[in-house]
Amino acid sequence: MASRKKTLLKVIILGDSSVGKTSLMNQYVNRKFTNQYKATIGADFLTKELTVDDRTVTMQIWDTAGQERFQSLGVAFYRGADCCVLVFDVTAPNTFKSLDSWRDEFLIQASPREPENFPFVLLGNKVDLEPRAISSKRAQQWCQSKNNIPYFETSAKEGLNVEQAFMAIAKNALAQQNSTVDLYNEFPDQIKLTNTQKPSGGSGCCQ
Amino acid sequence: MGAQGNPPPFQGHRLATATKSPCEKVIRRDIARTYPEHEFFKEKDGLGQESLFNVIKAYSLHDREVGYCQGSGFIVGLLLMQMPEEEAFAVLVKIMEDYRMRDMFKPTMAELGLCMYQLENLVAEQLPDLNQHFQSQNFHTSMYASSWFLTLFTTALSLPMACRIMDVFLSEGMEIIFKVALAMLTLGKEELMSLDMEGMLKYFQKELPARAESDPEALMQLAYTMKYNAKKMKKLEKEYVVIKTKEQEEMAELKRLRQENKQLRHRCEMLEEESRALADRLVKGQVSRAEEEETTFVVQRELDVLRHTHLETTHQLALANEKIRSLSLMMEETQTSRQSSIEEITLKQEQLQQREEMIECLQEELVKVRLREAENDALIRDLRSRIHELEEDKKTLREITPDNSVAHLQEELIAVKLREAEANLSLKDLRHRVTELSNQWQRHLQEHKQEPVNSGEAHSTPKKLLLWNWRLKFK
Repeated sequence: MASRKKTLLKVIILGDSSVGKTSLMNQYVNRKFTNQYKATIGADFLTKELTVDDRTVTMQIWDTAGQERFQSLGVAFYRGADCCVLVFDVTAPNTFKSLDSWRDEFLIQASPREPENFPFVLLGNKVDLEPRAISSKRAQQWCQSKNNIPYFETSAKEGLNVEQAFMAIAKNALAQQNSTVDLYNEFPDQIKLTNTQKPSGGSGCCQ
Repeated sequence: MGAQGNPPPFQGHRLATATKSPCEKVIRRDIARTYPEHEFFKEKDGLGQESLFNVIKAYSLHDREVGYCQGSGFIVGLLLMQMPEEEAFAVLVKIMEDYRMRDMFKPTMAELGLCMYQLENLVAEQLPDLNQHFQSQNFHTSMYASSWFLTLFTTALSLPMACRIMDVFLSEGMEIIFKVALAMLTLGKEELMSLDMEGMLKYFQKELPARAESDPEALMQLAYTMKYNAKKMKKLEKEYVVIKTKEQEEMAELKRLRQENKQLRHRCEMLEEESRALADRLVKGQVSRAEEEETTFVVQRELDVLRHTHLETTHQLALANEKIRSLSLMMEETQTSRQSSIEEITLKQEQLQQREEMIECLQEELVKVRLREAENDALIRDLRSRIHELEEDKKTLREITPDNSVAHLQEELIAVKLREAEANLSLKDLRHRVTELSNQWQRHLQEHKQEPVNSGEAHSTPKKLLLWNWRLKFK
């Protein structure tokens, strides 16, 4: 256990309640969708092994409660995150408006070393539903205003774009981890990343 | 409370309110996600879901401060499995107000934090090995226990187990939640100790609930044996309040510092920009100064050259001035000499003129003299002829009138002879004079040829004077 050859990427999924955080995570990890998920209380968590640029990494995905007041409990989950996935419901304008608050709160609680460079990925979920309330253009504009966050439009229900989105998330997380190795010294089982190629940020996204 | 898993819908009092709750939308979103697999609640917009919605909404209106908090729906659902809406609402209000749950669901969720702190301390005290393992794995209490406290195990364990715990909870309060939590940890301790964070999380999700469910009685018995010191809990609460207050202060300070940092960074950026601009200006200034210095050097050199030239020029000017002075002097002299020479020339010309005039006079005089000579010759001839006549007459007279007339004639003869002598004398004198003049003329001509300009002053006797002298002599 002392020196596992394993790269762990910690990813946090944030967004208003019922935008589909748990469904996205389950679609990606278990490739299944059900309408019968319970509301997430506190935090949920799944892991998935994947290969990024010929490297096997384990993605630790933290699913959180979407209600605003749960943000104050975030500290324990947010700390040490390599990437933050923001999710909104393309049919619910309010869930889009909350993005700024989620992002700011995350940066405050996770206190990454370089807040302006911390990788976020935005997912506009439920594209299978009508009517659309938030256009791709509007979402992309928001992303551009936030230092070019990669944006994906997904449907957790139909598995649309989920794989690609999480691959981008993994790459961004890996790039972040490579750039801030020191941050992980608090995790004893982390290995030092010395000879890793930095994947190009945001590649494979639909921007 | 009966621990039935699937109770029939109640036909009791329904809660129906026309008042809109600000939380309605949020509540609505969670309705289908509360016991989604339970028969009573799984039908979309069915009685179960409606009842759930009504009770939760009623509570959100009853307690505006708490409103609706995710997690409370599971407690309401559990109650609705046992009783109609109105009663469930009454029990919910009681649970909220008298069993610390209100504080648990308040927007700050402070009570949850406190419970986590208390549980952590209990674990540290009763399961020190496990606590150490958690610490080493950075495994925070809230990662596994927050839902236990927020939903009173309704989301973690099966409904029968949850119902049993709820019964104890209603009689003993939060204490049982801590005890069950400790019992669960005790149950899974050995396995948890061998897992990393990821493994532990999975264990808490699946294996541990299953293990607890396998023998509910054992779990409850284990729970009852867990030590729970109310005093100690009170003390921990105080500690937590202090920590939390400090944390909040730090947070405020942090926020302030962040703000300050942001401002300072902005200022720093501005100053850097200014510095860049200044450095740029400095470089430009230095360059222009160097250029100016170069120009100055060149100008200085030119100035030196000019000064030198100026000196030379001044010197030359002085020389030139001197020269001019000397030249002007010379010029004056020349002027004077020229004037004098002009005067001389004029004088000489005058002399020449005089001389020419004299020559003219002399010629004229010569002509006159010759003319007189001729006249005199004529006169002489005339006189001779008269002498001859007179001699003839005398002869005749001597013959006719010898006495008287002879004497008279003799007298007359003497006078004529005297006059003749005089005429001869003057003739002789004139001849001499003509010769002299001829000589003089010849000499003059000769002199004039040799020195036309510088003719002697000695011969410059005015002709008029000469003429005058001669006239006097001849008369």
